[in-house]
Amino acid sequence: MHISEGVLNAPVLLGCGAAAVVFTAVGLKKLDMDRIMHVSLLTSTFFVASLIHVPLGPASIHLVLNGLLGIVLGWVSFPAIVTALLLQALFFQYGGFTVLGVNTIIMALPAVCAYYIVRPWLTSGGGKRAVAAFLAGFTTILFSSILLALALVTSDRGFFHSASILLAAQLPLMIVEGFITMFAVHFLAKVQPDFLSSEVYR
Amino acid sequence: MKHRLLLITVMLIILSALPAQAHRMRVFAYESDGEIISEAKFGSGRPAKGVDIRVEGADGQLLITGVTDDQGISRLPLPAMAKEKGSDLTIIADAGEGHRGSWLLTADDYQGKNRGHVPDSPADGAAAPGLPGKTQTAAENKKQPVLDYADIEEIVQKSVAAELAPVKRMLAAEQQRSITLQDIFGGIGYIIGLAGIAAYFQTKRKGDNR
Repeated sequence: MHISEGVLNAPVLLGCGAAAVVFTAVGLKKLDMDRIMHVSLLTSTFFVASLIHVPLGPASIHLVLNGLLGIVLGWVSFPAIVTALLLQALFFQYGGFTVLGVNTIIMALPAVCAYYIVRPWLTSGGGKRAVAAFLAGFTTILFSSILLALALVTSDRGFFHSASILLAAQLPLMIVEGFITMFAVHFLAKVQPDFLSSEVYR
Repeated sequence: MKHRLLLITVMLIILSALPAQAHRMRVFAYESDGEIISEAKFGSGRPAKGVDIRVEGADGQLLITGVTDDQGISRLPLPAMAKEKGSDLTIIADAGEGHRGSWLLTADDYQGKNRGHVPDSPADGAAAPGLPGKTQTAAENKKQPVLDYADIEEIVQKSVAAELAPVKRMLAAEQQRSITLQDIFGGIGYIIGLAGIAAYFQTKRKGDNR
């Protein structure tokens, strides 16, 4: 999910960088300071999720968990994800500094979409919530993969090549993330329901 | 708060059980016997198969390309141009899908310091009385081939290169730092710390308003 340095050209990097700055500013404005610890815990979760590998056939995939961040944090996903990505670039050499904007857009924009689409269902209990959480995990990765493929259009391989590889590779991840998001939401609803209470982030 | 701590603890236990790995493309290269040997791996140590390898000169021009085999290894002849100029080479592994890594193979790495330079002092004539070949006739020379200084040097260089190849490989691999537990804890610490700083300034501002 992390694009490396040197793959994309300057207009894409600059465009996405500018968009990421704007969206992060929006996220920071919407951030409720009383909830800062929630945000930092979810940022930490995202930060370490990329290290958890699920071996699948010849390849292995790592978790992203941006769906979980999206439904809990909404627009605040942007500052959360940009922070985590910056630290991942620093410590793990995932992605990089010039591609920070692109990677942020790829992972945070679908998270915000998931917030708007799925969040209303989460306050209801039972099966509806489980399905909603699964869909949040699933569709966020789907949308992220599409964005990633779009970003790679500018590289030499072309959109359809990238998109077909990515969607095939990410399909198992979509399912895995769907279930993990489902269990995480179930767990949060049981032990920390205020994580999921509505109207937290305006 | 108890539950949150529990959540973190569970998360970290899961983490420590798993090897730290990622979809980072790692590539390293070394020279052996006139070939550039590049090894491409993903962060997990899994070999990157069928990945494009590009070798670029110092000015960014493409010199030679190749593809990695099942072990993630690619053997490419050292470009003649690079050998003449002694320019540094950048080896780039590109797996498509946005994963890419590079490695700088400097001229010093692939050109032995004395390679091609034959020292002359002890080799010639009288300076090597121990070598009977120098004083023997041409006919005898054919029967019993005699090595002169340059030949010996070449043989030594070859065998040293062969012996050194795995060492070079190890050194190159060593430089590709892997993720440690400190990195993970450090990152989490930074995130919590940033939140703490934000909270501090917030309370300060609130205090000023009062």
